Amino acid sequence: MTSATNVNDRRDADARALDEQILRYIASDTPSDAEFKRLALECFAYQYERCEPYRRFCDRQGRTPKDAVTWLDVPAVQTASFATARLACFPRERTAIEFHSSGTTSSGERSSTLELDSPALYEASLVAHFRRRILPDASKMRIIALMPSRADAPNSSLSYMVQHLIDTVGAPRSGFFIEDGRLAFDSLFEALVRREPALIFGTAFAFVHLLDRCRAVGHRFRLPSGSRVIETGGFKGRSREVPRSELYAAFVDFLGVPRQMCASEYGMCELGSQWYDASIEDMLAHRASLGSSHPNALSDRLDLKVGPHWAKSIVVDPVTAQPVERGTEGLIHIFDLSNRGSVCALLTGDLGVEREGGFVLLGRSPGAPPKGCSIDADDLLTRGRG
Amino acid sequence: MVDTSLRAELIARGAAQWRDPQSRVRERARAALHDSAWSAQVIESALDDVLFDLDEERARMLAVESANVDARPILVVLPGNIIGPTIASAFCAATAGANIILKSPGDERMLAPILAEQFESLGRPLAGTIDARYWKGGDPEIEPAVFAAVRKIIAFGSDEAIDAIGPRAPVPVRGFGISYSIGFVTKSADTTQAASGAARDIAMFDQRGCMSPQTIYVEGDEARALLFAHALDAELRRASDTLPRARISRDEAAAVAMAIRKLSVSALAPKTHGLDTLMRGPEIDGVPGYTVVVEPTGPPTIEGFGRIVSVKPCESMETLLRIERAASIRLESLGYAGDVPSELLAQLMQSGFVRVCPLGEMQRPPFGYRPTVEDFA
Repeated sequence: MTSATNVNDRRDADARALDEQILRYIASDTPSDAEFKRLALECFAYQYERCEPYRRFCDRQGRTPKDAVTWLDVPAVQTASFATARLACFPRERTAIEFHSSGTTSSGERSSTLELDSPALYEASLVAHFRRRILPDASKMRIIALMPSRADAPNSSLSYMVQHLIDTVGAPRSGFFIEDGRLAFDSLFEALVRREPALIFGTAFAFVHLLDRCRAVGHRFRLPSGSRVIETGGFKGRSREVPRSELYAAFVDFLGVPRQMCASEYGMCELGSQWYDASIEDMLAHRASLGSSHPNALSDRLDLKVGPHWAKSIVVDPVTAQPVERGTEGLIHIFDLSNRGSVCALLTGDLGVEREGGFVLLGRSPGAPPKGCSIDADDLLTRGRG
Repeated sequence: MVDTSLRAELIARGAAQWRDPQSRVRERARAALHDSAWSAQVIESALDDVLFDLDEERARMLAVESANVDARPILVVLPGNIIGPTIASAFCAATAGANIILKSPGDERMLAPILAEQFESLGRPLAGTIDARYWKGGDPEIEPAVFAAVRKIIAFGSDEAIDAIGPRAPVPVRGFGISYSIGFVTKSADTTQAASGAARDIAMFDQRGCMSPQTIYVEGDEARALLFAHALDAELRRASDTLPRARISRDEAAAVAMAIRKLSVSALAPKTHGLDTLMRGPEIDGVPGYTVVVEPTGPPTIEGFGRIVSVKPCESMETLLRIERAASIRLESLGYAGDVPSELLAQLMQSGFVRVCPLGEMQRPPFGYRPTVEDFA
């Protein structure tokens, strides 16, 4: 098995010193807002000085480190900018890892790239938050990964991430179950009938294929108690789309995993940290469960994306980029300390609503209309698709 | 033969009516499109241009070439983002002698009936050849019956949408999918003239069609690109009055704002002589009416709408050819300014551009370009 962590550390002394402080903050059980603010402003100064396109962007916004008082004052770049400019605080020869988003499309959308000079922050952030939200009750668990392995997708942040989880919190017989771009059904079904809890981590489209096969061959698994499902990534046109509620109902029906033990991961190539639904954490903490006297509280948090304490989020107006009132729909704006090597303040293209403890994801911002002479045929066909 | 001659005469007469701002069809179209998102000036300009070269001689020549015998209609699924293809489709079909069903888009259902009525009033053999229809996409009560009754489908849509028609339609499908256009300003070009032409190509339908330039390459160094960009800024500012931008929705305003934020990162650093590399027009609907950005050379930047144009330096047209070959997008037109050797023009056509024309003419394709008369044969 390939180790995701087998990557050179190419940081300079300044980067190491800043990372040490951030790592201490990540590891802290009692993180303070004051310390987050201090680190956020320090990262801003570091990135403004070393990342030329970002400095230009900040100058255009009229915001420099001298003007910033809180993390909210730090100019946030659109995540799409990672496709059009090199947003890294180190020269290219210091790049240790490079993640690319899904490839260039016919619509002209280019692939984003995140460069890291060291995996230290990325991995620390990944494992600390995963343990807290997804695996608070076990030190290790068998991980069944439904995505290409790191060897098959060397620039995929998701493959890197899950490989590292397998290396650190994965129990024996963890592994990837996509080979040559296809689900390896035989070995996957063998893995699903083992009498030990499993954590199935996969992309939505891989789950659709798995569930279609289960339906076709009449398999209904009942995974051992403690098993859980983590879904990520949406569909991106690679399989038939299935409404989220239907997909999660199928996890219950065909995998035998309770709804509360199924969660969605929100992450992206441009971000070092991840967000997870609160459902598993809540279930395990007995704060909410089916049949409780607070069913609304349960449903509210089923879709609540909760981030780590070293990454803050707010929701902003898509046009002005100014914060909106809580409960109002807008773009998700993130400040992630684990992005020290690129840009910490990011404005995503995703719509959400802020709630206590996190946000609810509503989907991609509709953005530009189809380019070219295209509107009506799309309408004609999408409505007609079964 | 008499039929063809008469048909050509009526086609020419009908086309002249569309070119005449005082004609009844123009008045009706003007009234019908009054509540559309497009400004009155853009609509008038589009109607002036759509059949600008369709006279009787041309109609007769094309009609002779493609005498039609199959009476079964052709279904045309019209686009909702520009109006030219509706009128062009009707006249191409007439030239080919084809009967057509014009399926209007959801947000513009008036032009097709106006064309049907115009053809009625022109008389036989054009009368009765257009069936103007509208149905909600995918309507199971209507769509299968229409698909079964036609001999061909011409659809304007995304590649995915067009690909999806095939399995559902028992007839051939001719799709006009998504593609993009770019501009090139040679060293010999007059910068102001080039900027004026480019501004018109950008302003018409706010780049929503496939023939509008998304990126304009300027032969030479960054300084020359910067100077062209400032000339374009001035021309687009002028076009804000002469061809005002369409109203946009809140979602579209958000997309424009997001695009500008993205371009603020990729823009070249402002030069020491003080010329900015990101210029924005006066705000409409909360976002700039247009945006010009100077970026480093590279693949085309495509935002798709909103009068957002990237200007990039380019060493030479040969470099452009290399960029074009490396770009993984489907290219439609190349608009150029200045002198381009004919052999290079031929090379450009071979390299993937469907059309090469002067800047300022990109949104004014000749009759029978898209769709073609042959599409209706």
